[in-house]
Amino acid sequence: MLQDKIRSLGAYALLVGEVFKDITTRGVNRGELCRQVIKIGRDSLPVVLLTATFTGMVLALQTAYGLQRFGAKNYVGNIVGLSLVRELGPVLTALMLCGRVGAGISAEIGSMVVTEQVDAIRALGANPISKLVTPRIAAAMLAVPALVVFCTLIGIFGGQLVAVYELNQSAFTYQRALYYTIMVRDLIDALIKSAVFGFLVVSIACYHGLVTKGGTAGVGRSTTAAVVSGSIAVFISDFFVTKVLILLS
Amino acid sequence: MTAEKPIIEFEGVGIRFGSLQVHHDLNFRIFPGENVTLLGPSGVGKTLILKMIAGLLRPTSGRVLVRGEDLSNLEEEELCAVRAHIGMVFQGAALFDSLTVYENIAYPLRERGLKSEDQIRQIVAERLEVIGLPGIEKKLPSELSGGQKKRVGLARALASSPEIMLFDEPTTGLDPTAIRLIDELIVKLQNQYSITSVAVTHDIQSAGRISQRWLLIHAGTVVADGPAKQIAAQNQDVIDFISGNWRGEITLT
Ligand SMILES: Nc1ncnc2c1ncn2[C@@H]1O[C@H](COP(=O)(O)OP(=O)(O)O)[C@@H](O)[C@H]1O
Ligand SMILES: [Mg+2]
Repeated sequence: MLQDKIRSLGAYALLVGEVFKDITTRGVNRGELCRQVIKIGRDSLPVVLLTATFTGMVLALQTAYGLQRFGAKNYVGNIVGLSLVRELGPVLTALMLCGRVGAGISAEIGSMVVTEQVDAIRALGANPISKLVTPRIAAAMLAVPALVVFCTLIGIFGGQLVAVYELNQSAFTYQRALYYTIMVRDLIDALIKSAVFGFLVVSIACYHGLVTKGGTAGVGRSTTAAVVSGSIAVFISDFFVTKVLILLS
Repeated sequence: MTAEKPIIEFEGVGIRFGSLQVHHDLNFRIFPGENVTLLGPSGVGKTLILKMIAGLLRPTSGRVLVRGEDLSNLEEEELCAVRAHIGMVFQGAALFDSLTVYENIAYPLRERGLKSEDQIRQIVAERLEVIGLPGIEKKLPSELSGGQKKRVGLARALASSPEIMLFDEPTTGLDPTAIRLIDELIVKLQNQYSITSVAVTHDIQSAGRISQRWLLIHAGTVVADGPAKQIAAQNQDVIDFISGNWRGEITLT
């Protein structure tokens, strides 16, 4: 059991190595890259925006509830803004990405494996890594930071709705708090984190797709595995990436 | 046999997945222009043999030589060059779902990058003519019947004019008319393009039509190898077993 886990971690590392080799030697196919960026954006933007709105709203509600014990209700904007930019924006987006895009990618590649289309790619003189994996990973690293920007903005807006209509703050108070709290540094950290999450979620999904075995049932198993291990990777890497980014600042 | 050098050679080839030893000692040579069928019940590893010939899988022991080259010494890029001489027709056709028939057949030509778009268009049209489905360039695989998919898969494998064709169960799951059509097509290719062919099937009638030499695969090794008629005469119970007419105990010669 543990041995299997270590072996698949090793196989995953090999895949990542091949992707780097592929990017450095052959580059990325522009057309496919564009198609994948659009696909990732289109698939995940609606769910990301929906979850972000409600997360921003509940966050404002909860912080106001907590802060009023100290008579510090006016700091809602600071806390909501900072949590969304530094933490929740990237993490929420990555989790939604996992469920939508990660699952889709492992199902797509997995069914190509069980129908021998991946073998066919090789038999016909092409490389499945550069055809299937590299463009998807590169696309995720571009698309996810953009999605995170949308996610964070709309989350902050959700928070403002609650601040104004529930907590009877002025929009100005809320926005001023944001303005004085969030620094360029926070935005840069958020974008770096997002790119890392995009890389992890999609490379893990590609890995699970490529190792699919056992027909259509196998495709289902790969999809589940991609979502589960992708989300775990997001949570674990979140801590370490944050730690490193804070050390660097 | 001829004095020529073998085009495909298996020397003590074994392959295992974890604790599952599928083949342990495969030995055979196939010479240029031969048409061979691998016979054996489902799951003995016939597909694995084809994939080892195409360099898609590496044996865990022994050597596979194609056109005199030991595949186990080759890097993926070098294997790619060897595969240029091999066309493989997959069991489920393995057409790319998202690409049209035209793009599917053009795929190996584009990947090998030797042809202009005009030449590619010509080759695609010519191959579609060969398989008897001219003018279907714009269709998607999902719009084709099972037999048509197999034929397009065949056209795609044929696109880069390979010397060796590998057919994985080219007729399994098709109706009798489609089976006859594909068998005739394979024979036509063998004659027209003087290719070497290795087919896998458990349809004895088909095997008789498309090949003169049979290899019986059982328990990880070749248990019989020779002219089709001789194999059929000497191994009647095996043949019955493979073709599903078997009633008694299996004895291997
Ligand atoms: N990638 C793989 N991993 C593990 N086992 C495999 C793999 N590929 C094939 N096998 C096993 O090898 C055996 C032979 O497979 P195959 O060549 O497809 O048989 P055949 O084509 O003769 O029906 C099967 O038992 C199958 O489970
Ligand atoms: Mg098979």
